[in-house]
Amino acid sequence: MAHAHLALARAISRMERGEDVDLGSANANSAQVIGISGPPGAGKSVLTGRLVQQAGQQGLKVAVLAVDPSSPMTGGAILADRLRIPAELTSERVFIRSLASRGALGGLSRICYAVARLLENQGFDRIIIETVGVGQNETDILNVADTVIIVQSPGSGDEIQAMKAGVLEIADIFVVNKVDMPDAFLTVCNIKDVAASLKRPNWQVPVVETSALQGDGIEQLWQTLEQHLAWLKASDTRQQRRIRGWQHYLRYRVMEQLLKGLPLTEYAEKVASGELAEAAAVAALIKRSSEAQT
Amino acid sequence: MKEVDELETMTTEKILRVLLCNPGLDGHDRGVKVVARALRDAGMEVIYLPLRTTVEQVVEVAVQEDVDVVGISNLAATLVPICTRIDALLKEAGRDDVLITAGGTVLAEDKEQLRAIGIEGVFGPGSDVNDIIRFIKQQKAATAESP
Repeated sequence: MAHAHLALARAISRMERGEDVDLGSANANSAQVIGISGPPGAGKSVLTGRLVQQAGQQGLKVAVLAVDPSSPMTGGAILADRLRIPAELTSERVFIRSLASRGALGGLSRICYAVARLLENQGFDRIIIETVGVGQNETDILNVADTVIIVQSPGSGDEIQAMKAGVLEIADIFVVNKVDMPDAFLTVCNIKDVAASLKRPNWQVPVVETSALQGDGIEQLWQTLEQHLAWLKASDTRQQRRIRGWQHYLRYRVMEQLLKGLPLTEYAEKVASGELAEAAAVAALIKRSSEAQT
Repeated sequence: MKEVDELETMTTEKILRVLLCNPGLDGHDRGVKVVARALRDAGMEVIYLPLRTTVEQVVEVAVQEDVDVVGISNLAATLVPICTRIDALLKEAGRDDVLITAGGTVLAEDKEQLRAIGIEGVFGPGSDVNDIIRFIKQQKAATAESP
């Protein structure tokens, strides 16, 4: 008998290669897609493992997409998020897939949104997407997740860092992890200031304190996620986010098709050597692309 | 350079996915980490598992991650039973196409016993990582060509 997740796993690989895959439509808008983002080493993977445990205890089917960076030099990657997720959670009831970012710079792999739809249609109730360790500007998760958790840990900067635009603005829920570390209260204070400044209709962005390694604060985080799900259902936010997600995914798919087989390197060499002006190169490439389409 | 036409190359190129694991009661992960780095630098995606997993967990992960290769490290003289079991479970799960390679402390009789179940890529102490990379690429290129 073939394995339960064999076809699903194979379908995701085909999507990574840019092939067309039927995503289905059986359970549209049935899942909560939870995005977990934050800097490297903040505890995203350990938190993910804890949330998988919680979902399992509630009898929910849960899937995880864990993204790690691809090398810009070789295309290779070390996908080690599974290292932090307890091996005993590996079972047929839990589907975990590691994805390399493959050149995408927004903290995710380009296919995450479509894979989330595939998983939703296959009946997963909670889909957790863990981004690469992010800096200040990788905010693609906002276009993929229904609920965005931003994880911070103590020692990540002063209140001026917390004032900067970018990643911190996209949180639906903040987690300050490693609260058992000294000076954690300073980080909690700074993040509470940020949270208070974020304006969402009828949703005050909460700050949850956890120690994922010890397991502290996890139940509170789970309850907060449930509250956000109720809020999503009560407003049209989830629908709006899904539309925005499709917008971004469709744009990528169209670009991929248009760029297929184009000799970008050849034209780059011509522009670099001064043989061709930038505008002329762009015009020539667009012409070749439209010829290739017909 | 990848940056120049990354949309092209990063999405359509077949990138090899390799699961590296160290199942059973063995705490030596120095070697497997060196191999992980080398395979990354050779352009492969390496899924890295923690120590002390079971063979059943390894196979579950191999299926979910849709890997092309499973690399098994063992320095506790239990390479043959672990490889034999993983080979059987992968076939049971419908993944008889996965290339299995083994490394670590390879006993004199291990190589022969592993070859008997079709595991040719066995890399003992002193192996050159370039030989491992070459072996994986050659094997996967050969299977990609055959129908």
